[in-house]
Amino acid sequence: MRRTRPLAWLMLAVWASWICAAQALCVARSPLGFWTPDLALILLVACIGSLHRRDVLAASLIVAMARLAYTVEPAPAVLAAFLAFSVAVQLLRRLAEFSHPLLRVGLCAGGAGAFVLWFALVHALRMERMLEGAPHPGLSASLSAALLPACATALTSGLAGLVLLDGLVRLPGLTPLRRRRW
Amino acid sequence: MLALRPVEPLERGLDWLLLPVRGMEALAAPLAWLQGRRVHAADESTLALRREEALEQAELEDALRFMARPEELALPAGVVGLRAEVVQRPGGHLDRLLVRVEDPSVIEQDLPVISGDSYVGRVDLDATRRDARLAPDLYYVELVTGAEFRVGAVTDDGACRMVVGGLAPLGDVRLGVHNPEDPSRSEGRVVVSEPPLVEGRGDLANGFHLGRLLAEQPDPSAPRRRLVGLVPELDYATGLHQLLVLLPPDAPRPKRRLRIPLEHDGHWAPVHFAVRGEISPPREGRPLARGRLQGVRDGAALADGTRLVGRVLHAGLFESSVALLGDPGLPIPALALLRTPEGLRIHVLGRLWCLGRDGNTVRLLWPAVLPLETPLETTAQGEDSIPARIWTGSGEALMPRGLLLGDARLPVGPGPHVLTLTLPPGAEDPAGVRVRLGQEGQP
Repeated sequence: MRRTRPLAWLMLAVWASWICAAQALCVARSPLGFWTPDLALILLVACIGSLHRRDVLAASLIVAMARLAYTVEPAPAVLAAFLAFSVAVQLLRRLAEFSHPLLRVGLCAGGAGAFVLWFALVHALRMERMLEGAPHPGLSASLSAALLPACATALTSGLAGLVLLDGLVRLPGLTPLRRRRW
Repeated sequence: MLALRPVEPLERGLDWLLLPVRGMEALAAPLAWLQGRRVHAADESTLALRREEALEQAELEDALRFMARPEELALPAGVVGLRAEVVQRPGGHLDRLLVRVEDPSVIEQDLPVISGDSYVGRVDLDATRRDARLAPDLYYVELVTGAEFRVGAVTDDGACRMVVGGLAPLGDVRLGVHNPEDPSRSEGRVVVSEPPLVEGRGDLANGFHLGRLLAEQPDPSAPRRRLVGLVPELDYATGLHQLLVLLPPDAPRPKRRLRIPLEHDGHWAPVHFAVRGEISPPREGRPLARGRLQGVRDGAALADGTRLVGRVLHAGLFESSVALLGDPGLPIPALALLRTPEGLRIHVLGRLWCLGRDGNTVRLLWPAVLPLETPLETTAQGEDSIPARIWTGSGEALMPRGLLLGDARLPVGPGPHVLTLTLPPGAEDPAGVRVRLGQEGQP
């Protein structure tokens, strides 16, 4: 089993990369647009549910790097978002039964919406900082423009989580990462 | 905190640490193959459209050549205007421009610089010589907005002399007025008035406009305290593109050239996007498999023929992030080409901000520091906006002038306005994208 774990991590990277690429294509070139669910986050939530605690951070990092390959968001913002998400999930695992479907669906929805707002905040603040003194749309305008995409992504991510969570964890190659239950 | 307040060295370090991200992108290669490399059949209508755009670009070039020339005023007898184009603002200095001049051999220290009928500043030859990285045709120009800049001035009726320079401590951009002969004077146009042959050749710009006097109360709680400033007739922050350096009659005659080539100067490299999508919904970006080591720099333009496709947001070591035209927050220096009964007219829009895309249109925020005020014939028919073709302007590093953005109607009157830009047909799927490459010392 131990020998297959590196391969399983590699498979997680492959699946995450493919899912992120498909998600990027859906956002940009399908009628779904910003209604596209955050599939990468759903994959992470699905994995976290079956991973050992010590593996959660590594899984978050891999999914974050996959996302970084298909986004113009700055690397520190993406890494911070996934780091914060994994810390929040770890805390939640201590407080509640993580296998409860509603909790995991809520995490998918809340995390996806929060990610959209977080990236909008980062983008707006960086623009404000870069163009100090020059007229620009402003922070509130940027955040309000991101509100509808955030709500839409949260809603569809929740719904997609409801359907996909159990399936994504059974993707080929990920079995060695799962926690033993006996 | 690092995400919100970027620290340059740490971000560069992250570029190294995140080199495996390139591998992640390669993992999705099968998906990119499924998209296929699109081969665009060059049908007759597309070719005709591209030819038309190229012709209009040439028209814009011709119009730009006359853009910096005075309209109401005339150059003094024997004075020659040497054409210069703003290339960028170096290192975040708001009061200094880097300009490319037509003929560097005739440049002297402190020669005055104008744009249209307005005074801009003077050539800073010392600063230029101190910067060894600069190409020989690049010069620094100190703007009249600089804190230590001073120029002699007088109201246009000749009644009140004063010194102008720097910014007045008022909310909006107002040029500072110092030691006016009549402190109670608070209206009228102010023009340059320098004594001849004292400290450079500032007198060559005598009569050129500095702005209009305006008295304001900086502090509402102290109504008796008022400050007089000048409302400038130029957008010094983002609206300077084409300039004239005034040469004295005894200077050698400059060689005429300055058609800065855009298409075939070898500073473009063809690129393609591995995945034509962006994962964050409101954003419109693409990863680009070229980075700083291949000559890509932050802010560089991406073009498809004569059209602007986007700009490089962040150039990593081997890969870059590109913001496309619909990316919210994307800044674009822009000009509007207006077709009036008198002929082509250029209106400087300054920096536009993308607010997002709606299908084939992009919403742009136009601060309208220089609003469209002239009542053209089209507005006389009761219309409050004028159709215009929008092009990029110069003034930002690696963003060349004369790249097509699209068509929009420009609202008349003070801003800010939101423009609805209609992109040219086929703009959503560019075929031959190229990126502007940076070179050492060459903005």
